[in-house]
Amino acid sequence: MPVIETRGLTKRFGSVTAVDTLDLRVEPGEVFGFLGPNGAGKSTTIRLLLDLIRPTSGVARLFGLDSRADAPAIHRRIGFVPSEVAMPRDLTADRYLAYRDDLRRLDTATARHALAERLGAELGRRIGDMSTGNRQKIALIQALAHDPELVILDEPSRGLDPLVQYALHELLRERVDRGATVFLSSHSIAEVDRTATRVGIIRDGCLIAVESLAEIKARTSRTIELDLSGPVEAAVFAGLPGVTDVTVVGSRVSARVRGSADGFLRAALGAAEVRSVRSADADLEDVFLHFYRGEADT
Amino acid sequence: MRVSLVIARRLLAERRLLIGGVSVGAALTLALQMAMYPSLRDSLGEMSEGLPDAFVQLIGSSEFASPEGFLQAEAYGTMGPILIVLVAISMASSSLPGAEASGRMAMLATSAVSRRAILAGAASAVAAAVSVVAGVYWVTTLVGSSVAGLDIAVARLAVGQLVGREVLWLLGLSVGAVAVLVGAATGARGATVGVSATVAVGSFLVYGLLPLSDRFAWGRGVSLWYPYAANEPLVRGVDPVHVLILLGVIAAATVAGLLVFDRRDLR
Repeated sequence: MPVIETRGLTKRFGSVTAVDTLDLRVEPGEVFGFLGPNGAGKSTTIRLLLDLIRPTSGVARLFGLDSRADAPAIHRRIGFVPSEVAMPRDLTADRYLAYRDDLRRLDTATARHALAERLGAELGRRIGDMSTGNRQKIALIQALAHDPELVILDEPSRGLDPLVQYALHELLRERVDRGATVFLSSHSIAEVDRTATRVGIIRDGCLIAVESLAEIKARTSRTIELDLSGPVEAAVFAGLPGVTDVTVVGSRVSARVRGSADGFLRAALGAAEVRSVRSADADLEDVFLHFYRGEADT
Repeated sequence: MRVSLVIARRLLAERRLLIGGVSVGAALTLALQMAMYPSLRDSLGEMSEGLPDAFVQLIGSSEFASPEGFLQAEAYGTMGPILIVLVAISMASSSLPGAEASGRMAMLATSAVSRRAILAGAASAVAAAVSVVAGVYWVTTLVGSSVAGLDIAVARLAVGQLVGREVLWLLGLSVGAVAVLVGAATGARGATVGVSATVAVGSFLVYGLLPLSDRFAWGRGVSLWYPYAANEPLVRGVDPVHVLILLGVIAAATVAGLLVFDRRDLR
């Protein structure tokens, strides 16, 4: 049984279709990346799954339960961090988390202090005095402390420094190893790349692809820059499959490489010593263009 | 139920300065009015004879010079309702609409809490805030009238208060229930304050002004002020029918609030 399943899920706000006949299936134990630019419908989809808003048509089921009729039972089994974290400013983090425990009839004191240590959060501070990143840590703690079966995160790395991001990804991996499922929404390929096993790509409310990130990266291009030991001719890279826009300036080479970079690197190594390699992430727009092109071709 | 109380407790804690401030302000204002009464008694008597009927309707007492009439007009006809309505609307607008405007509703509504429990928590918080202010008003009336020698029949006052806190409490709860309903239906602070304040002020004006016209005098019966003030509760005691009308408004608005909040998109 899938942890998340939607069929024909649609949400319209007046004349605007925010989510359009979405068919989605997330299996137990996977980290599902939900990738799309701002305004693509990611947060609206999450709000539909969590019964914060109601679908115009279609259904959403979590753990096999109806997202609307069984909302409290579903919420008991999930942890959620919204894209805009808002918490009472007058409370310390510890008192806020105790309040969350009261609502859920739980006692997560031990777990939340352990999580606070891992994420470097200060539970004794007033939430109103915290930076965006520190508030985000508290939101993550409230989502993870009760060891939920499904973690839904909407842009979770907002405001977090790289070390805390790393700690978060470790925490998510540990939970997945114990059987939990993660639904991670983001507009950043890099963020999804670090954790997701499968990726759904949404644009203008439509799910345009669901594939493994490796498959997506194999079919999309990114820019690779090389520093070589000496000048080379651009002709060295001519005709290489998947390699375009080659620019050679002295001993520096940059090119757009689609799929495997093996041929490009071997060509460079055949001409000179490679002193350094820089590779930019696959560009999100490029990913979308790829899929749109694919749709247009079919 | 337990979860609703947890939510209500948090909402009350967030608005503790408002509730405390209005309570202290209400007590001080009422104490001042009662302290001034003995020195104003004679001039009030002369003044009340020349007052037009419309004004007497608006201030809520026909026996302006008596201690009960003075309190009915000054404390329970104007200042009390203003303060209690202020607290009711302010609490209601900061509960559901406030949580939605700040973004906190998303985290609250995904905490294994039903929407009905959330609305019940908000309504309980409004009711508790109104009860605190009405309670302070009641205690101040009892203590103040005794200290100032106002010679109000304490038994009548106490019975009236116990039945309906001199109905001021029920007026506050009625306006609060309407405000919670609007907040539940719209999730918008502006609409909550605007609509419920219009209901409160409109009720006051309808009750006070429509009797001036023979043709429309019947219309004052549709006002929330009518069951609150028509019987001059401090002077004549509480009319059970009026209490039932206000209880009916509270029940109807709360049930409607539960239904609409359960059906709409949250922000």
